[in-house]
Amino acid sequence: MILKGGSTILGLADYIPEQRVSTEETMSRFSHRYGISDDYLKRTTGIFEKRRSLAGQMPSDLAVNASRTALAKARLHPKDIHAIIYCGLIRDFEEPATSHIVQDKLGAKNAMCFDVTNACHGFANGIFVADTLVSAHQNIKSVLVITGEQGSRFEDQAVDLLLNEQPEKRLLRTLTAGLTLGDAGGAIIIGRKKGDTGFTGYNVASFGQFHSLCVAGSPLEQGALKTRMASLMSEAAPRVASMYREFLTKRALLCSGVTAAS
Amino acid sequence: MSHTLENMGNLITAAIPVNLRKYSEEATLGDKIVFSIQGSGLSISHSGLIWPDLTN
Repeated sequence: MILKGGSTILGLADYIPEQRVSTEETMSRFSHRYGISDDYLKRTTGIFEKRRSLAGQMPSDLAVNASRTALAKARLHPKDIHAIIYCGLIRDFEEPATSHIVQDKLGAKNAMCFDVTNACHGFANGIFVADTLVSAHQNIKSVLVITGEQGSRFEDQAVDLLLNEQPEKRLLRTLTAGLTLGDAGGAIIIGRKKGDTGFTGYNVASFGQFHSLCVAGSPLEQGALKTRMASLMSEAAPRVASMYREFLTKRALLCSGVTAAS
Repeated sequence: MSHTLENMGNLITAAIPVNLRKYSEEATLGDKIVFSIQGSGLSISHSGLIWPDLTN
């Protein structure tokens, strides 16, 4: 469905952990068991390096670091934030929602807090929800949409399984997606649109019939991220392309001079 | 276009803010961009953004 946008970005920041880990270093830990070279992941994905959080850093810490920068750039005080939406796949705990921990660390006492989770798509959902809040309610002027991803947790699980399970190529294939994930925090402050700039609209769809193609957290799979990547891509790619064409056609404002990012 | 895949990997939900922050280094007021997101489930979306004035 196509939705009209009513918001804009007031502030934007990221937090990139300093520690760098090469993909060859990671692969060298188990490559000998599968008869592949250490540069296998780099050659097949283009990823040569990732970032890793410090020991003891929680997802909320990554989100807070990004949030502080975003607030400073937007010249806003934490008390100016009326809602905090945490959208990360990785959270501090199952309970409470990580947004509450971020609220406490920032001192954003006037914000309502909740988490939105939808795998890699969660941040986009957070933006739609923030857009709706600022568009529908005069007293909600700024919403902090945040994340603090620690994909390295999935990488550690994958490496552990690849070192300790029977070394079958099928296992390597299903765990490879987990080896591509990195750590970073991000924050976007959303406010009501002024003038022509800001979010013009969204085209959103879900296809639940494919829910089993990428699963993380199953106790039957030791919690690891397991992906049927070829099937996932073959189902997703044509849908992404047709939705993109539909969006550009129906939101005519964007029909020229578009830079695509994904 | 992702600015981060090769040297940061798949950043999961952080891909949007990190790539937009990177893009802000070269962005000019009024740039039209679309970001395309897909997540397991499967959910897909496209968001249109006309680059705002972030200088405050």
